[in-house]
Amino acid sequence: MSSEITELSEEGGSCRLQTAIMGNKISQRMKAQSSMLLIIIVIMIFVGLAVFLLGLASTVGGNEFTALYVNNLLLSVMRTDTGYTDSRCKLVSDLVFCAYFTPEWQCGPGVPNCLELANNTISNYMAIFGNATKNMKYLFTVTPAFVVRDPSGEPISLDIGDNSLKKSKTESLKLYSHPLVISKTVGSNQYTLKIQLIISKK
Amino acid sequence: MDCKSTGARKGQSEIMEYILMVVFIVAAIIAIIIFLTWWNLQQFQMDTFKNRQDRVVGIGQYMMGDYMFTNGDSVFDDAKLTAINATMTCQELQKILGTNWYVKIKALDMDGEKPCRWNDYPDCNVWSICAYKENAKDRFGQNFPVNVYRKVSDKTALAVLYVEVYS
Repeated sequence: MSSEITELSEEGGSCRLQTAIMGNKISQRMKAQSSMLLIIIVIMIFVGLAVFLLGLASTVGGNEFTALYVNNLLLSVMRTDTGYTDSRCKLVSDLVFCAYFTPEWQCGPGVPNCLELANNTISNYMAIFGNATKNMKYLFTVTPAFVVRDPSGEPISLDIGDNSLKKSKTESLKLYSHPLVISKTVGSNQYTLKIQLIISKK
Repeated sequence: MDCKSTGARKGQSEIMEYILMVVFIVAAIIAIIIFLTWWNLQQFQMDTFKNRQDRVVGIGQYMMGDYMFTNGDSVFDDAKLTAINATMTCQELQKILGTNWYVKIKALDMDGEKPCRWNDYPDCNVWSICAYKENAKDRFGQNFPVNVYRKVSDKTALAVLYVEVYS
């Protein structure tokens, strides 16, 4: 009888011991899990801080220089002489005006029409400028001050250069100039055009 | 005996855990120190770059807006540029714009580079203001699109204004 009691008490003791060991294991596992979680949180905070600081760094750039560059490029190209004496074709800006309103006009005998000449002249000047500095993709977008739409409802604009720049969202560095407004009086009517330049790395 | 060994193992595992935590924390602190040092260096380099770029932009804007060189609106006058090259010294311009800079204006209406001196005008296309120093250190330069007005032919040509600063 007494031996049975001893066995039972021994069994009860080992059971308690097993329960205690199990509980200890579970608490150790929980502790390990919480330590892991803590480590992961610390790593996430560290990575977040790094990403935040790097993001902040990428926004600091030569904004003043790029703005000056792209606006000056538009102005300089528009002010350059084409070499033709016709008043509609003297400067590149005159040629753009002519290409928009009278695209079939010829600046002289045997000379391509205004639209073709504007394309050729601008691409030639951009190539010369690119050779002297660095080559780039460019797009001159010419729109009137008032909205003009074609029969399909699309606004009529004259694009000279790389058309892919207009819709592309994948360009790494796309710079927009301020719109340049040029006006001309023909007869009693005044016509106004807005020209914008978009450039990106080639 | 079993209980003792279990306790010893528990103690060992706790020590290992603490050691791991300490190693991780030390590694994290070292990583943060390295990152912040790198960050400071980057910021310093960026500030240096920005200062130089601001200086280049400042000199460029001054040149493009000054009637001593231009007819206004960043159209350089070739006659004025040639006259400045012949009559003014670099020291006089350095009183206005500081030292350690160099400017070159190149009209793109001619092939190659023909320096503009009094005798070569108007068949030339390059004007250098303040001498280019071969042995200068930490050079930083930028190009700006500009125009040059050709007084003799009454034409405006596309040109490049190159501004360089150095130490």
